Amino acid sequence: MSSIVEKDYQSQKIKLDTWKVIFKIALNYKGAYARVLGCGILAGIVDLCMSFMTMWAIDGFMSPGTTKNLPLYIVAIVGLQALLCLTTLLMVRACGYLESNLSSDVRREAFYKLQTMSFSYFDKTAVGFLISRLTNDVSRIMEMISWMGIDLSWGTMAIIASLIAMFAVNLKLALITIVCVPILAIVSVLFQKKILKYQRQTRKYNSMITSSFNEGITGAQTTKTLVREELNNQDFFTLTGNMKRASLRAALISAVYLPVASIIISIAIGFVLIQGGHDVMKSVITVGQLNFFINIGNMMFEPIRHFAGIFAEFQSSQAAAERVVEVLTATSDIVDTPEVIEKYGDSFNPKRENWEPIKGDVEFRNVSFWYKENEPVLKNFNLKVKAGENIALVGATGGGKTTIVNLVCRFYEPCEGEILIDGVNVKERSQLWLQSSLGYVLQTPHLFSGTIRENIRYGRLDATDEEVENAAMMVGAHDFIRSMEKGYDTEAGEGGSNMSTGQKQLISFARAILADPKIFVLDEATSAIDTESEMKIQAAAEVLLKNRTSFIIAHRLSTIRNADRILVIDEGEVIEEGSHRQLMRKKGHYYELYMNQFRNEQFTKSLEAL
Amino acid sequence: MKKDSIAAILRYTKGFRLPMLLSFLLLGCELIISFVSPLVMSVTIDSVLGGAPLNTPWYFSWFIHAVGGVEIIRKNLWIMAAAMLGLQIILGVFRFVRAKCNNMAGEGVVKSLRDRLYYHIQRLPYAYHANTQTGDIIQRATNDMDTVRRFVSGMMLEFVRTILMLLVGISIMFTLNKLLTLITAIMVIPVAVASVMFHNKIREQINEQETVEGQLFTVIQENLTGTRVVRAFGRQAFEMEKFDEQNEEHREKLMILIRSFANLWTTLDALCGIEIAAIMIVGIVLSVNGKLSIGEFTAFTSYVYLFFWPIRGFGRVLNHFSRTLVAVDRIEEVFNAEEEDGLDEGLTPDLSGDICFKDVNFAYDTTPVIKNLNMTIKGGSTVAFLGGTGSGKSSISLLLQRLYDPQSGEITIGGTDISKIKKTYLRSRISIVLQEPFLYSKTIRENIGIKFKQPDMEEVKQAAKSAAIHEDIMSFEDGYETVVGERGVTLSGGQKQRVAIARALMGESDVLIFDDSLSAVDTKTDASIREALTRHRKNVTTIIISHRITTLMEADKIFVIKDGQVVEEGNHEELMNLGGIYRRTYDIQNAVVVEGSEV
Repeated sequence: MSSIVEKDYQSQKIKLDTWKVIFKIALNYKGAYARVLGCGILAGIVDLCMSFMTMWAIDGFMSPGTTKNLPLYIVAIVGLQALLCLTTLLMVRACGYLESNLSSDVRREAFYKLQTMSFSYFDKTAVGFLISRLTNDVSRIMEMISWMGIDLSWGTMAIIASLIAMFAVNLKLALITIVCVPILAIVSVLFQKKILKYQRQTRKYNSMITSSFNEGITGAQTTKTLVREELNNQDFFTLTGNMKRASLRAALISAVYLPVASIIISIAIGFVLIQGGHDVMKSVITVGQLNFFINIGNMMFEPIRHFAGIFAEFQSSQAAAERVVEVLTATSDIVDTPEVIEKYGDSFNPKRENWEPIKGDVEFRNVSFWYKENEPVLKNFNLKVKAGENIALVGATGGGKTTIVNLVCRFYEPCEGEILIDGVNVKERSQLWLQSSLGYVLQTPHLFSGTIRENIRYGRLDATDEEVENAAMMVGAHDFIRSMEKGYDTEAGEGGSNMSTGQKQLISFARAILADPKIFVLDEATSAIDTESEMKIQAAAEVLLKNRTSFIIAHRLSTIRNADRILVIDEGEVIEEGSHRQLMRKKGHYYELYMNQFRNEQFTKSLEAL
Repeated sequence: MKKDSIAAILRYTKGFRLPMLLSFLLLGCELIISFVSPLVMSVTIDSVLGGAPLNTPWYFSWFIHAVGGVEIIRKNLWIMAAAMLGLQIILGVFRFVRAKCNNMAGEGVVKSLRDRLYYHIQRLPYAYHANTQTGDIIQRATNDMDTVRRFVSGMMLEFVRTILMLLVGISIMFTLNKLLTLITAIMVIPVAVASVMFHNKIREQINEQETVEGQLFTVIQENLTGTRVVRAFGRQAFEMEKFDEQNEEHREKLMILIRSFANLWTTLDALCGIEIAAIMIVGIVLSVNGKLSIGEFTAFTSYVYLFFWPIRGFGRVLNHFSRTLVAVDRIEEVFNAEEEDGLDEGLTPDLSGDICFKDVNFAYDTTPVIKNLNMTIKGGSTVAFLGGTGSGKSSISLLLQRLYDPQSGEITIGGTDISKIKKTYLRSRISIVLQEPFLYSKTIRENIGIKFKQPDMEEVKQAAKSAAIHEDIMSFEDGYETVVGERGVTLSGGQKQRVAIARALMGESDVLIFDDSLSAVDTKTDASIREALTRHRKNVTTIIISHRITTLMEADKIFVIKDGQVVEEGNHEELMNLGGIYRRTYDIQNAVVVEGSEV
């Protein structure tokens, strides 16, 4: 897992708009929240009743010295305790139900959303950040809003019930006790904010220490050659020093908070004791009642502390909540019109029966495209490709080659002009219609975790094992797959087998060929791989390209030479066009490029001769 | 293993034992005060308000006599209120000092342990790092360390608290009422047992839940990094299904886990409930029979809560303790690996003289890499090594810096055997640019000046210009202050190498080694770097390892290495005339232009 953390937004204010989105989702579980609320209220009442039970014990039995009604007392106390157990059980279960469901639901919604987002969205937001939003941020927010119901309902109830009970028992003592509530609340909020702040600081330092270790270990060899051990140590010691200071501060603030709160409560209790003591002596109140007031001061503190905690949590979760909500409310640049969806279905429920078969004619008609206004990548671009034609795109990086193939795939849509497939504007068909007839092989092959078989089958989900193996055979991957210990059942993903990039590339070819695409896009790798894999990939590509419209961002000489048409692209324009022979004779840009490429290949060859 | 681990933990506390013991002592005082303060109320209720004869521990009776007896207090109730407040203030001070001592000790232990481990890892030999899975040591240094940290800075105190509380609590309660104390003490057992049992089970469930969570996160990660593949095959629906499957499993596992927590807490609540009910009921009966005063009763009701909270968490503490033992064991394994010797002591001679290899043999494990190598590199000259992969040409530079030592033979610089030279000195005078350079996640300025604490900016710029990276750096938004690596800009392979070259050019050195480090830069830049080197180099022995002839051909002497031996040596002309490997390589690399134009 990537451990990237996005920079927190600087704003620490709680923004209601953000939370509204989240609460709206939470409201899907009204039932569970109602249960939590009910249990919380019940727990608050039971807590209060327990104070009464002590009062009853003193005033009803001990002071008069009688055991009359003791059976009733026993029933009551056992009943109350049983009720308390029951509320704990139901409440925790309900919260668990909320947390697991809410986090799953939100994650699902966000994941779904991301499946429909256009590529411009992924350009703006780094994938690492998106991953951490869907994982850590969602976990954190959902845990918070699932469990806060307990504190809110129980705390509110405890405070309200205590207030009512106090006023019912004795007005004067009640007033004395209440004075400390607002003071406690203010002190609690102030401290909780500070505590949270320092806790976050220590977490930050802790993760810095982790990455320091990471660096110190992965870079150990370099460190040795640079004799940087001593300076590294100094850097590290400074960091651990900061960590020590920050966590000490966090601990000390907590260590001040609790005593300060206790002292505030003690002052209130002290006044209750003085006033109440006189009242007892004058027989205005009973001993039990006095004891009740003294207990209740302590009891009210807990909910106040929790409220302050929730407040601080909300504030510090604001940034994470904003990030999650941003994904949930994002809108895609590329949306099929309702008419298109009506006819062809959407990406999750396609109506394949209405799909026209694709031939593979591609046309760019006056297409302009830019990522940023005023910086056009393509300007008034025109291109006609007949079905089955192989097009090689060559030219410097940043010239617009990738943009052209992205437009063909409808990963982006033109800012001006239109793209026609089989003579029809792509916008009049669904995205899935085009994309499921598309083969796309990337420079760096992306395989999913799972077996090699599953990875190839990704091209066509209902393919039989035999068809999978046939596809592998066609691209020349069958032999090396078979030679592995587990053959087609070898794990392909990260941490699985030690397949070379070339081998992974062949598997991605097999996956593409199984899909039997009508239009094929290939982004060739720039880095040289060993000659043997190179030849295999070349052979595989040839099989793939036959009778398919194809666009290749070409680096390999053989690919370039075999193309039906070569387009030299520079600054969004076709500056040369023609077959290999024609362009070589011209001795222009293409000639330059080709010679450069040739030199590089020759250089690689010389290395193998050494 | 268990004994060793416990001994190791005790060793870690060295230097912090005094504040640690002090914090335990203060914790004991704190507990005493917490158990005494309910007695203030108890006395007030019984003797002051109720008029019963004093029946309190000696220190209480002493206090009451000191202020003038019960009568005075009855008229001045504020004395009791003040006593209560006073106790709270003392308690607060104790708590604060205890927290300070405890955290100073805990964080201190952690800091010194971390520092020691980091220091140790830095000093482990090159071979250790080359042969060990980096991920594994990182795990030990971070995750295992974190387990130890949580134990030392928190759990350890909880552990002590639980034990002290049993001692303090029971003895104070015992002076009040034996039967109620007995009831309380007995109930500790089932609570502790339930807590431990549940936590073992919950630990398993947490592991399961974390595994499933990991799988779910992998699905998300793979989907998002592979968006293009997903779209190109129109597999959104399939991906959604895959996600749903994992998501559902995670939902279930999380629910199961929280259910277990619900069961645990309910069980503990039930046990506490029984305890409370028992204290109340027995209390009433005792009181009615005159064996317990009302004040004592109220004190006991406070004790129940004081007593049970720590015990409820005992399972968690114990569980963490056993995991800490395992973590300590894994950390100790790293500590037990031997550090490199001769780092800080040895000769510090002038290293600008001739470098001689005499009958040098070197093997990684059992695979011989260098066989009977004999050669002399003239001090101040530029030499080049040409060789294929696995020819042993890179091992030569590792031997020169003594990152490895040869099995036999001798390497001398200016006549001094390098095995007698202080390693840090040797390495600081020999600058090497590795094939795959590692950059630190710091700014570019800091990376180039990495050998120095406060590098001179002018010198950094000069080095960057020589390494032909200045222009690139200036094109970044933050220039030299651009952070590279994980948290910053990703540099291309060529840019990384040039930063590494600039880094090597900083400061003075006697020997400069470029280990294939010019291969990722294009021919033109390569030439300009070499040109800059010739300009600045004064009496520095330069060794260039490469397989690009244009990079090598201007060297004073070229060695062609094959199978760990020098097979050809001489300057460009001589080797061309010799017509061996060098000539062949030259022909292939240069034939390009001739053949290319014929296509």
